[in-house]
Amino acid sequence: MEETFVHLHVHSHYSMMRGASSVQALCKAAVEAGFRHLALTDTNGFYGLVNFLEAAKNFGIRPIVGATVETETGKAVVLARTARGYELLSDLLSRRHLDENFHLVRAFPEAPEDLAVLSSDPGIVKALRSRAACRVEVVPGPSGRKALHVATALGIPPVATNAVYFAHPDDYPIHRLMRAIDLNRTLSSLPAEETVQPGQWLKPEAEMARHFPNAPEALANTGRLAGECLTAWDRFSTVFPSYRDCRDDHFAVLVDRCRQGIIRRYGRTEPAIEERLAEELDLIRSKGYVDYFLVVADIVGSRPIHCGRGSAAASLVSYLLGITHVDPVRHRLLFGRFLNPERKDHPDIDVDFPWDERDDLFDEVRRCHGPERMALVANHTGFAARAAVREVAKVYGIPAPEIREVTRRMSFWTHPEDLRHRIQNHPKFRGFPLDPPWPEIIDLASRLESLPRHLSTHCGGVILVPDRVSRYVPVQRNAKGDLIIQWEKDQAEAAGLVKIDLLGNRSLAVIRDTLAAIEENTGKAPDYAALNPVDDSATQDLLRRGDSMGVFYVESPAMRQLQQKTRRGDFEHLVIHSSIIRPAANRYIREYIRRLHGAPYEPLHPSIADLLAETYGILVYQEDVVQAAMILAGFSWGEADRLRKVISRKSREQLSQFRLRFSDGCAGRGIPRKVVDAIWEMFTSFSGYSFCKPHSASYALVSFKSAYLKVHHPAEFMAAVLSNGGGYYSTFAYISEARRMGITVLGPDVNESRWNYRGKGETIRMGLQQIRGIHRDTIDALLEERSRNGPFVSIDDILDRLNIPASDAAILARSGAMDSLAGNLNRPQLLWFLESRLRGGPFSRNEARTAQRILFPRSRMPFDVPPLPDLASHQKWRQEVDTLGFVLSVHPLTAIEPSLRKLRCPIVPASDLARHVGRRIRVLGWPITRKEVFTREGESMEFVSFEDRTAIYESVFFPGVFRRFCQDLDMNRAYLLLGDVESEFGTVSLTVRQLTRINERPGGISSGPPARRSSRSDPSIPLCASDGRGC
Amino acid sequence: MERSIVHLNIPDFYTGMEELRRPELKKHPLVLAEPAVRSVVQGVNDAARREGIREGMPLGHARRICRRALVVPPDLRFYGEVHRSILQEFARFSPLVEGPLPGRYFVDLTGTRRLWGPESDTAWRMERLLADRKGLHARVGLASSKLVSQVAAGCITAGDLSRIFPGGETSFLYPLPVNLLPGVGAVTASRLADFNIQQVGMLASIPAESLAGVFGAMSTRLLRIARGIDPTPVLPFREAARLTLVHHSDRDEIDREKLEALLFVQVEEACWNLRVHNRRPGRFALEIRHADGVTAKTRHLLPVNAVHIDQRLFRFMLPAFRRLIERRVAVRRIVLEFSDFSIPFRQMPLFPWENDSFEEDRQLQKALDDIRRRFGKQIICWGKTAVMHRSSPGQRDLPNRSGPGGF
Repeated sequence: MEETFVHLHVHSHYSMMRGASSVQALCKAAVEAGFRHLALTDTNGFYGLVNFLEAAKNFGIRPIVGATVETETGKAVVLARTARGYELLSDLLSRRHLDENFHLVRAFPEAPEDLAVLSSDPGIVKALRSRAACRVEVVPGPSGRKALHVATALGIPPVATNAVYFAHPDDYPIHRLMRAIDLNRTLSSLPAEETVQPGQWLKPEAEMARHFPNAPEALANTGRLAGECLTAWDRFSTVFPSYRDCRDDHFAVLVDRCRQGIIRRYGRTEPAIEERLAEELDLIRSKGYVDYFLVVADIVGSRPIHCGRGSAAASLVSYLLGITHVDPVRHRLLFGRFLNPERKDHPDIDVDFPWDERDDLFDEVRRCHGPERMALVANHTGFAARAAVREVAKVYGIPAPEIREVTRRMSFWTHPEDLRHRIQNHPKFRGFPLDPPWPEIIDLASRLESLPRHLSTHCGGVILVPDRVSRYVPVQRNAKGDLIIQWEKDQAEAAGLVKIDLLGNRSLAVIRDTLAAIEENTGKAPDYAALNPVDDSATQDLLRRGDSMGVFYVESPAMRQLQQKTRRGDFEHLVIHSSIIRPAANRYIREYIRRLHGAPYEPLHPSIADLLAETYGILVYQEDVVQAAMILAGFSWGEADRLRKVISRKSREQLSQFRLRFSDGCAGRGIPRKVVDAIWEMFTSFSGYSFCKPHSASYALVSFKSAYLKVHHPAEFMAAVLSNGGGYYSTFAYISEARRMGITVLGPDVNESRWNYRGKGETIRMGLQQIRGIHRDTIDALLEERSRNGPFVSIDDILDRLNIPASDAAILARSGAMDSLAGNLNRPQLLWFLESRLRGGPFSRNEARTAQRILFPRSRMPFDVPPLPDLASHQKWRQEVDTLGFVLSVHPLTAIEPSLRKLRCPIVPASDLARHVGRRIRVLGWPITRKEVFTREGESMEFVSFEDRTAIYESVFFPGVFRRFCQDLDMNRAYLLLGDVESEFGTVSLTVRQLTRINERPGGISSGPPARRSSRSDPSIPLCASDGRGC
Repeated sequence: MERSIVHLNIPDFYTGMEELRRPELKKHPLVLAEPAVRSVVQGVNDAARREGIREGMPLGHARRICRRALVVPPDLRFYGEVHRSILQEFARFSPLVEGPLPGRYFVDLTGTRRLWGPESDTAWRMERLLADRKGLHARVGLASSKLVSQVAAGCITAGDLSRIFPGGETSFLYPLPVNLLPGVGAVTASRLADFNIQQVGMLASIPAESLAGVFGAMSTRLLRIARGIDPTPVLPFREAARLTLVHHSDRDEIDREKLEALLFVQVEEACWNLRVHNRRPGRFALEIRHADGVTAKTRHLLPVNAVHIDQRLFRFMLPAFRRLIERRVAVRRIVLEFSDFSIPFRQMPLFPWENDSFEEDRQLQKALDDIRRRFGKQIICWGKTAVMHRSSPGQRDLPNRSGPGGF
């Protein structure tokens, strides 16, 4: 039976910053109100379409697909009546975003059978009545009555809608809040035209009927129109990229290239390889992945420095095509983790490239495949905890410093859920009462959870289709001007769009730059692909010692400590380590180390003893979970793989269902309950994130390459690390590490420095990139002029040859980059000279006018520079902090030496900690990285890495100490720590008992700011600037 | 004739006042701040300063630094009275007394030697007078200019006198750090530090042309103050008649309707007083202080016909007020000030309909005044002021799922 009313104009929260309800909430509300059909017509997009279809399926709603096309000139709801209508609408929406002169009427396609249009604008309805099934949209209120007259006058059927923006009337305030956030307004200053009416919620049929007592046909027409629209949107067809080649048989091309790969990789073929290759090729062909592999192979072929990763690294075909570089046969990597006859979803291939090459790579792919066939995957950026609190607080008119005081205590909080609970219990909020209106703000912020705010670009997902992307999903441009689809990766995957992940990786850029520097310094450099240092003993030693700061993937404190505790530096163990280091696996890591060092152990169950033999009986890889579930509970591969995914996503409901099935399966095979529980607990350590072995092996190989370069070419390597912005640590920490490695780090120099850091022999020359606050144009011009006409010989020379703004010249001078040209002038005199010359000359105010400068060159009349005294050391350090971000000349702890002289207690250097195991000591510390974690009881504690002038050391702030000192611990200052030195598996750490801040003021330990003094000349200012990651 | 200017600087004047009223406060770190939740520290005593508390700091932050600090609301009216009485006391010594800020005084003693004796004795007598009558101690600087006497006072402790004899200005100033000079702010001090110009003498010794090349137009003033040259006279204090109404919110307010209602209440109050005293203000000034301490001010002339009728005056002021509150930060304080008073007169309107509307407003105002005079001010109010009693924007607009209350 036809419904008497259907909501045909409904916005979800994917009408970003306007709609207040999720598609699930709308479907639920529709079911509760007794609707069987529901349309989703978000503004200018299909942003949440796939989620809507899924929700509709779950709630038993027949979904109608549409969109509200809104332009400055008009607005209309367009519904897809057929599958072709969907494609046309998707195209129309894409043009809406891409065409600056888009006009709805002019752009609308001829589709009388495929599209329906609802609009209250008589102009639009009249113009489109021949091209689509047009209806006059009638909404409750005076405008609706006017629309009814229009419908009668034009003889076009009216259709009643409520232009829904929220599922329940209660959600209206959230709509207003979002509008206020979006418009940077307060609630009281929100213009009425920027919000919808409070009544625009998903009203039940009876309530809608009350609005239209005079137009029952407008209500009835909704049911009729809904009946004409396609509602069977069950499944999308899978869309692979297509390979372009003159030969039709692309499978033959793939086989040929694999054969060439065998010669290149192995020299000659072997039965094991042939068998594996045949098996993989069969599966690839049957799953339709032939073109996909060829396309990815072509992409990586143009960029030799890359790293194929993820489950695709288990594929021999990938290895032969040069997509991945770890031999899956030698390392026994299971292809089934990537492709499997039972696998229903479509795995993608992930390839890492140097981070700064990604944009060029996208351009190449675009050129190669055509711009209309390629688009990037989007992200739906929502409100994270801090952003939600910040935005709501702004709506409440809270001053920015007060907001910062609250949000800085919420570092690393990601989800707005449970905000109130966390704030009530977190030690950082102890003694920090949040008085009204903060409780309201926090509550509202937590309600912004999951609301998408805007579209951004996924870090690497690329969609390539055989014809044009806009046929499948609307596309629009991101901030850089690239085409992006309107779906994020999950919806894209669910809609059958198989993506290729082309990701940026800083460490690959480090390796590339190091190789380039080696070639420049020595004339020859190893080839990246041929570099396979897994058997290099010096590299293994470095990894064994955990001296791996800067080395890809193994530089975090946790990983370095694991390397030290295991005392293993070989490739096989590194693969295990890169996978076992998971947030939820601490207990198993300890057990793994114990067993590694010879402790006896019994396998969890004899049937999985062989499976886990290489990992000492511990589940380490994702495949272990899959295979253990298959062996112990008799799961099929598909079922076991679903279990793996459910564990990763921490879905409690699904997890309990799987737990039951797993227990039943195990019980059926006579496995004792205790064993089942132990294995399940080990399964749950894979929640959050975990890796498959192929992925870990791929990354371990890059780690080895990286470590090899650190051992054999330390200056070039550390310079490359610094040039690429480092990884886990701040620039300052890497410079300290370089110094510990015996490398001299020289400051910037206008004649010696390049843009990047440059390493050679035992020195690193700082790059001009490190100088803060200077215009990039100035540095580019300086480098270009130097390369064209040679080095600068004097200050006059540089000022004559370059048009440097006075402010940039001062920054260069303060950073020390001009010291080599200063001649007899000291730093203050140099600055005086520059300022006199650049600010005081007759054309100083017009110096940007090049033509004038050519006509009237800067005055060369001699300037009298007064006899100014040179700066003291601490003043120079201050200038280094201002211009470079940290003290370069000395370790910042040097600055606190005067304070330390007053302390009567002995201070142990960090390099001597091992000699004080079991004792309580005092040690100086400059924090370089920190990580807050939760104990099993849900209490916060923190691991902090400190360094002093001798070494880095790790420290633990257990919950009690963390509660006491967490508010005192910042990243950019010196501390005196009192703690107990403890040793585990030969690795030393400090369990902190007490933390004391040390000010750099020569007067000693003091908490008070100085009296009225110049900020720059004041040595009490922290000697390192905060860059968000630390000092 | 050599000028003799004495500068008296009473450190921590506000907290000193409070300590005088309540001597038991003297031993504790004392903070002056409004009792509002998010108020800012307006004054501290020495003990609080030693704990790291500073003026301008959020009160919450100050409390975290020193939990035992006593917080007292500032009584600006009282401090103003004391300030004025001190000015009157000093007026006995010279007609030229200037009090730029409460606790800071310049007195020109030039030519008073025959009347009062040596200037340093007079200055000392003034300090004693302060100590005896007010219980306050000042740093006293005596020199031939306001600049040097101010610097001289800044170099000593309270209860002491520093005299710089004519001709000795430069030898006094030159060894001092440049940032002690009045007029050298943080930006200038920072630039001077770049050139490692630490002492006043170094600055003073730089040739004018050379300094001009770096500091431009500012160099003349810099050189002048570095060389102790300050011919500015001591300007006696003169108080103009003004009507000031201050609203200080207990809770910072962002709701525009509420803010407008608060202004309307102030306008009503002011107009009532003006009508009672039969005065017409010539101009008004509005000052808004936001929750982050930023203030915004505006001043306007008032048309002849805009006064005396609450509605009319409010309507005239509203556009200026709306421009002031455009910032997306809550408002903590609204100050409304009227000045330039005169006896009201009314020009006859040119067009009859103008008269009608004015007459209507006047009649309504008269009726309201009559009712209020008879039954009290609160007995009747305009609808727009009712908004002041409603809940906050969040509570009003958004259903609070977890109930009210702080954490």
